Amino acid sequence: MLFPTIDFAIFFAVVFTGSWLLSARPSPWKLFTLASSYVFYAWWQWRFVGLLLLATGMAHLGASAVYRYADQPRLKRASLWLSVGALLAVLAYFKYYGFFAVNLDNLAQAMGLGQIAPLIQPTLPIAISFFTFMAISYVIDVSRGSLLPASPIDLAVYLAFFPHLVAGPIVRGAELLPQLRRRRDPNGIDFTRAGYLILGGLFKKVVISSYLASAIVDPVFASPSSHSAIDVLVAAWAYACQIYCDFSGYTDIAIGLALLLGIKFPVNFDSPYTARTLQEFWRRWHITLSRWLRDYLYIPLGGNHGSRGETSRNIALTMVLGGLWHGANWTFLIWGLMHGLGQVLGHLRRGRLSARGLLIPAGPLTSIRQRFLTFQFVCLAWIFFRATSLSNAQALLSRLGSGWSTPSSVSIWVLVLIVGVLSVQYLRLEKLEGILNRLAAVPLAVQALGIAFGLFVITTLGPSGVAPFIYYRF
Amino acid sequence: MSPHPSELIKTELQPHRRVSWRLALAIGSAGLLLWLLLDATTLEHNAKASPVGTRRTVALEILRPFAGFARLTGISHVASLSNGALGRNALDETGNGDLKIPRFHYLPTPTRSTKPVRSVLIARPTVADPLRVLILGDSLGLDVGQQLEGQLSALGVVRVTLDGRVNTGLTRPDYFNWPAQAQADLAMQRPQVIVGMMGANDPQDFPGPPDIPFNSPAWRAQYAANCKQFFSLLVSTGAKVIWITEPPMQEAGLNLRVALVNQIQEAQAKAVGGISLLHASAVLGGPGGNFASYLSNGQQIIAVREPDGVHITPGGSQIVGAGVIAAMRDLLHIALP
Repeated sequence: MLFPTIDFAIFFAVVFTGSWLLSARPSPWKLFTLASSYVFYAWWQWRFVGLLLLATGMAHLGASAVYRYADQPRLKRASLWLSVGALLAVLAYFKYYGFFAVNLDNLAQAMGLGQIAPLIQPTLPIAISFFTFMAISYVIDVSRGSLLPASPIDLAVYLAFFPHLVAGPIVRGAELLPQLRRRRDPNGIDFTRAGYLILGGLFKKVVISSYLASAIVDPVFASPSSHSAIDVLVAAWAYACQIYCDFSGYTDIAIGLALLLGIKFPVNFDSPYTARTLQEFWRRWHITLSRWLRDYLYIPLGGNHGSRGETSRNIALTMVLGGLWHGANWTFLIWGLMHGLGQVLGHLRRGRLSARGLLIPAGPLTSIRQRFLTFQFVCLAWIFFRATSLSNAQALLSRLGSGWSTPSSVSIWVLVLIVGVLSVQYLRLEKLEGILNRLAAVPLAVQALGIAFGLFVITTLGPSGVAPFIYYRF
Repeated sequence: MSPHPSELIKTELQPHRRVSWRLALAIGSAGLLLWLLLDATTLEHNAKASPVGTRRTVALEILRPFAGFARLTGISHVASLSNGALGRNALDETGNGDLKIPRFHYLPTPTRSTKPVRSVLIARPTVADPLRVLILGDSLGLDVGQQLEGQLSALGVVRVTLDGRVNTGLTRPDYFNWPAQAQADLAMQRPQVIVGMMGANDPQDFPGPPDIPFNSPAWRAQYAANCKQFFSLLVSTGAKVIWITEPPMQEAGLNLRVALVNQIQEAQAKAVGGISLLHASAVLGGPGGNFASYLSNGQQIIAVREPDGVHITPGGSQIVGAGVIAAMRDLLHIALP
């Protein structure tokens, strides 16, 4: 079920009413929320509800075991590895098996060994990367002692709660589980903030992201040879804005829906294109994934506690695996590698400057230059992320080098939207809070009119059919 | 790595006015109802264009009173005026009008002509006088078309135009009118060769009233007529047509339904004449022409189908593209480099 559909609006109206009617009775509320979430998931792929249950069962057994064996380090470690390994094995089978089997068989064939791995292409269940990562973080947090094991029903609701289920944010157990146990205030809904987030998210997705996709990104990426170098350049910028509006739009809607149900999610985006370095970019982009990678991959690998070489290796490996998290494709691997190597170079440069005492706060001009260069590098990497194959990426890059004499077909609206999306990122958060406060003070009847007008603008400006969110694929 | 902003920024900077869930429901419902009234005719129009079935019927039943009220009170003019201001065909009183189906690939270099002009096939295209190829298709046609465009462009003597629309076909001209679109493409591009591939979205009922159920005798007759009309249009300008039938599908039911579509398309292509058929099952099928996710060319294994069991991977599309180029050389006798 897609968020921007009438189906979902009806579904949510029913769930919202049921959820608050049952809010004083924790057990029925949890069962209702769980059933609603499974219906939401089954609407897409009913066959894979069993997989969600399996992940929940594995996380429950794993967390129970590591908690039970807290005083027996070997058993605890074995339980942890077993449960995390089982969760990763399921993810690997569905997401990476086909890719590795083909490459392994081709390698074996080249070495004269024949076919080694059976060629199967499993259907990728929606949301598997998200609920698997949440399940893994839950087991590891229990193992680290930062979280107590939850009851099976609490854990099931935590993993399946529909606002975050399909494309995040990747919420930690410590963030959501206590909220499931606490009684929510039926008179304390931050309606203005929720409405702003949902309408804003819909506008970003339905209007901006859809327009940029159909007006420039899809045509240019589909056929680089028929477009000019300027088209390719603008398409890369436009894709940066498209994926930001698409993914942050989804997250805004998810956060808004959860708020209406009395649940708070962590933020997932913080003006990423204002970043001055790649390291800063990753503290602002898909925040809940990058902190997951930091806490459950980068730090266990050794983080920045080893030598400079070890730290560089850890950064590069984390980013490459982060790239592969998005899918089994060489394009994602290169995208991750670019970000990894970019961060390593930045890390080494900062280390060198720091050792010489030259690391001083950047002036305004330096800051502008850093932001510009970081954005261009991110856009260059987005070309690999969006490309359908390495040859597609290569065609785009070669067009960027050779297509300067071809006339451009970029429309003024594409440029206006790109400038608009980038400019909004520089708005200060306090100003937004001020706007929200003023909106909250508006009479409720006017707020209802505002909702109607906002939806009308979105449906009028948007296309009739809305493409699924980009991150649904991951 | 230092702490993330999510850990630094308070999730709630300032307290706003809080409301009860009943009030939130009332405001939200009032907003949605007002919006339904404002947009009822557009929503009704979009619902009409959705696949025939329970979902469409229920949507239409719900929207009909809203749309009726909107027309009666003149509220529907707001949507019509807005669409008109945006340069879209406004909906008429019955909710008909242009649907906003995003075009996947805009035609980069249209000619000045507005009427179809007979095209003469050139047997030996050159850089100065390139072969004009138009590729038309649905999402599978786009899969193939994107690769084929690259393969043909790489030859240096072919000018390719790809016009693909996802979720379209020949069953629902009320949703997307391919004959009308193709006529415009033919007039603008004056192609010498047309490559077409669509049909996977076609196994669905024709909307009524009364609805014509898929695979009924009436459905087969109507679909055959639609195919004949479309194929006749394609060959009418003298362009050579290569029509690619659908590859086998992973899901057995869909595979059977698509086989019927292929069968009717093939019969009508033969009846119209001047159309070279390329059977995708011959190049993308496994043993016996059955569905295959992977194919081997003896040296390398290639994933040819997407995990959804329907769409074609870039590798699979290149195989079909090579088949199209071979057909251009062998069947149409075009001297391509």
